[in-house]
Amino acid sequence: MTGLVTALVLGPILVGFVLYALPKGADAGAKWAGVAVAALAVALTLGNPHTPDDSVPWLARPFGAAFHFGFGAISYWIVVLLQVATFSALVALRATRLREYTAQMLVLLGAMTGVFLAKDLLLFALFWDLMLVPVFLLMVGWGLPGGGPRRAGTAAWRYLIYNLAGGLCLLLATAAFGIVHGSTDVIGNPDAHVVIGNVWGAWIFAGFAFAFLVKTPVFPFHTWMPATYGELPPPVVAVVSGIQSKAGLYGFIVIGLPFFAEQMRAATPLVVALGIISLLYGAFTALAQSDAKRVVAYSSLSHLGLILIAIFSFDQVAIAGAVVYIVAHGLFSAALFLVLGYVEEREETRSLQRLGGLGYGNPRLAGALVFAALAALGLPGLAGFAGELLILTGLYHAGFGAVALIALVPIVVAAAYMLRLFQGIMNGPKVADLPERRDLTWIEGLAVAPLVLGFILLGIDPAPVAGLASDAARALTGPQTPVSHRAQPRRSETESAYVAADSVR
Amino acid sequence: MTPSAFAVPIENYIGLSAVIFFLGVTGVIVRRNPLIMLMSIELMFNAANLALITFAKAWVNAAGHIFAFLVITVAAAEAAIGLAIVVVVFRRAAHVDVDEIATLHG
Amino acid sequence: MSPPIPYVNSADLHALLPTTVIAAAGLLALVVDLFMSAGRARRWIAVAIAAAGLVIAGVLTAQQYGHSYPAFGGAYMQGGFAVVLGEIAIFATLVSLGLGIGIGRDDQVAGTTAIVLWSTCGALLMAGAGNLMMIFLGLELLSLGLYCLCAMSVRSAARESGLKYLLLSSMASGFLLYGMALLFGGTGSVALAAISAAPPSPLIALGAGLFLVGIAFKLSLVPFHSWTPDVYEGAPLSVTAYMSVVTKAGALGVLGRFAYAALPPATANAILLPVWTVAAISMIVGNLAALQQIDMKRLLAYSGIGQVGYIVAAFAGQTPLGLRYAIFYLAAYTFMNLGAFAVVALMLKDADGSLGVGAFAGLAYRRPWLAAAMTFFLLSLAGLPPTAGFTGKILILASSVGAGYWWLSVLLIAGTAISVYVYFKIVRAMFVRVDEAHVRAERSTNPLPWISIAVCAAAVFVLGIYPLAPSDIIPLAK
Repeated sequence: MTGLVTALVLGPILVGFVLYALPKGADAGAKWAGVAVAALAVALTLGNPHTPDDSVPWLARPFGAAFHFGFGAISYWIVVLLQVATFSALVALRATRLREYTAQMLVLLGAMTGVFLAKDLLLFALFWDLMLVPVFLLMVGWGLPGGGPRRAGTAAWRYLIYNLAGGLCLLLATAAFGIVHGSTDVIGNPDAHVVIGNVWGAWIFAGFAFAFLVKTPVFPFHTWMPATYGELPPPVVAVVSGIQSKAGLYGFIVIGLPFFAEQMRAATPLVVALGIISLLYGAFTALAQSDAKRVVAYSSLSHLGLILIAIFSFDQVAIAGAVVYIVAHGLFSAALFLVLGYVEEREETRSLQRLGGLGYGNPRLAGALVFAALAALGLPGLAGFAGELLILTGLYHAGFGAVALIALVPIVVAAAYMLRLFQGIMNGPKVADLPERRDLTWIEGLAVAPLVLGFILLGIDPAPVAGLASDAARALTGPQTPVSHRAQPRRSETESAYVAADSVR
Repeated sequence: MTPSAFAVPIENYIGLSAVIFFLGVTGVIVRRNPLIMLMSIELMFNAANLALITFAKAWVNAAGHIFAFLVITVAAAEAAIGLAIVVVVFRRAAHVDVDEIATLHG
Repeated sequence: MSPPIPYVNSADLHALLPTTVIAAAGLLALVVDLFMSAGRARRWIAVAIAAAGLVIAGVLTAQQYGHSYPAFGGAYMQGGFAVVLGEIAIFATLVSLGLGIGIGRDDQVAGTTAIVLWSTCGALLMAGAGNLMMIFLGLELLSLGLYCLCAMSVRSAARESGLKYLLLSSMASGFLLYGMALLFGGTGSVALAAISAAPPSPLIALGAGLFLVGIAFKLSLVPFHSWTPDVYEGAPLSVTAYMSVVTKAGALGVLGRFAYAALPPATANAILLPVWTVAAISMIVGNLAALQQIDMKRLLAYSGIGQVGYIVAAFAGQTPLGLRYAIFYLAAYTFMNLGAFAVVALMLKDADGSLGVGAFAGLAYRRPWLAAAMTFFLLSLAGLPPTAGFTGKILILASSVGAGYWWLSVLLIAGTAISVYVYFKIVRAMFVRVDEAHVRAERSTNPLPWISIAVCAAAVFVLGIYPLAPSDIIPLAK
């Protein structure tokens, strides 16, 4: 079905604008329209895995570019994850001005789908910048700042400035890539034969890498992240932490590995070092947090550090594991943030000191939280374990044995902070002065159910995700193309840039 | 391209025009009375006129003369508008000084 | 040795037909106004005559597209990029007149409308000017009108801005003129094309330097920008909107032709390097200064300084595509900037007033459509997708990287990062939850800005997602 992929990207954005135009009273209707769009997107994506790409020419000069969308081996499951997470976020949404809220969420869905399905670097950069805007607006309009409404937006600023700094570097790198290569229509294209010289390559890769590292985030670029995750409303943070943060890792896999293999290998010691620091720093800081959302935020830092190391190991199994773990982490972190949101809604606090004893009267809520926490700490049989196992095996294979050993430490610590989180909220003495609580309602259950189901299924059999990813990873890391450009007579870098630019004129 | 004969060397004309030009620039920058500033601007324009006419004679190209006439016309229009604006701005003030109009914090 | 004076033929006159139509429309508006009785109808009649003239001129200009012809012996270059710049100036004039249905009181509107139209004629002459005299004539025609328009209002701030503009701008004209005299001395001809043929001499270098100082002032590039915020703040809103686009269109036409066609390739890079440097400083300083502004007109003035920096950066290296992308970005800037001005006009009861950033607080919940439009224009100004600002920036980046000006593109990115803070300050204000009682909410009763907003938003979007055709139809240099 041609046009389907484009519809998955533009459809939600268009519906978002239509919702924005609805009359003010249409809150409930708007919300259910949003849910329907997300559900339809899931159904269409799962039902048509072999949809052909859509491509419309865009730029001819100064370099070639196209509106080129298509499913990829790595992006397919991430997009399914995104759509499911958006469905879950919307289904049990309770907020003021629901119409605008839903509209922003749909724009976010469309923009992020665009990031993952774009097969053109310029298009990728376009959606990369676009996806920041709805998050900023959601944070400004519905954020839950620590210091009351007066402080609304300080975290939003930090989010926007950090990520746009990354996004602008990405833009510059994309423009330079286009000039050097002559076309940006290269993502997932095995015939692209991208040859970026060493002098330019290092700088262009640096631009991409900066954007990806900030987005992930990785120490020392992570400082925007805890405040953002703390302030964003839970349904939004479920999507942002679950999927948006994976855009950087996805970028390393589909842009870094095929086009900048040399530069990535050169940067490996540095990035692996940053990954290890994130891994340990995130895990131990999570242990010390009293804000429930920040516990999960720092745990993300730790988990994503592990994925980053896996990608930079250049090992097929590790990269397949990284993709599995990307999906798994998206599922359980979305579930965790959603459940924590329900807790916060009931208790009006997310401080682990204030909370306690919630589990006695709310077995269903406790059940949802325990499932998500167990997946996060890597219990065998759930998705987190499958990803971690593949990554550690791959790292060991690739000669990163020491790193694999270090990576075991945060996995143990993860058990500690996740259990501390669960205990702090659900067990312990009941807190008398907190308001009366209701258990998980059926609609909240409906929201969490697909996520929980997802990480159970993925834990039992990661093959659908891992198989696709493994094939793709073999293509990416397999026999590296012999450095054929070395044989060519050396031209000056600028000169070859002009030639590349000329050839498309 | 032989420059026609000058009784006085061409450098002297250009030197004079440069001196007048810098007098004009200095006047605009240093003086605070808008009328004097307008006059200084006229000096700048007329310095250019002198240079244009000198070069026109040197190159035997009438375009420079025409240009100078054009500049004279434009400078007259500019002076007319300038004086009108000065009158409008300082209608209520006893004397004129640009430092006293500071509603806009430049 | 001067070339024989060519006979003026009908093709020469035809080249100036759009300009003539606009000038005639100005006269007609004045004459018709003599027969009108007092009342609001006078405004509408004057603006309607102007609009008709502008639309006809727009069509006539469009017909010149692709028909390059050096009219009056090369004094006015018909066709080429002058067509695009002319259309930009004409469009900006239309929108500016619509912001407040003319400028000034009912009995002044015919006069101000005529002055606006004649200023536009000046901009059109500048855009097509092929020799120094035409540049000077166009520039002064444009500027003389603007001095009057700035000083029109009864507010003392407006008159003050008029005087300030007059003094500083005339001084810049003086520099420009003296530079022209020296260029004439160095080459023996007033034609721009003669400069590149002449042997390099100190006269030419000095003359080009003074000339570029004058142009930098008109473009409000950074060391020469101090007049811009004051004049923008003091002048009536319509005049500010007009100035922000039309002067840039004219001056960029001159700079483009000077950089591409007039300078000898051997010395061009040395002469123009200061211009690129000044452009780079403008991107940073303009946006930094915009951070501190609380008045919308001042904020847009400083943001315009940064935006001009981006446009001039596209010229760097004088690649043929660079000029095209500079004009593309100018078109994008025209739409997004005028769109933002139209939003501001809708939030004012009196088109002569001023608007603080605080008035935007909670706008998204009071007037969602207006807030959506403003957000879109601000996204474009900040260079975010899916807007013309985004694609314009990509094209400029690609052109400056391709020409080897890495440092310019890095500074462009830095300037953009700062500007994001400027523009999102307003976006944030619009979407933040506020106590409505504290907001000074005014409304304009004039429906015309809505049309401008719709047209500008559509243009920003289309140029944003499909820049191929629009940027490719812009003619190359010469």
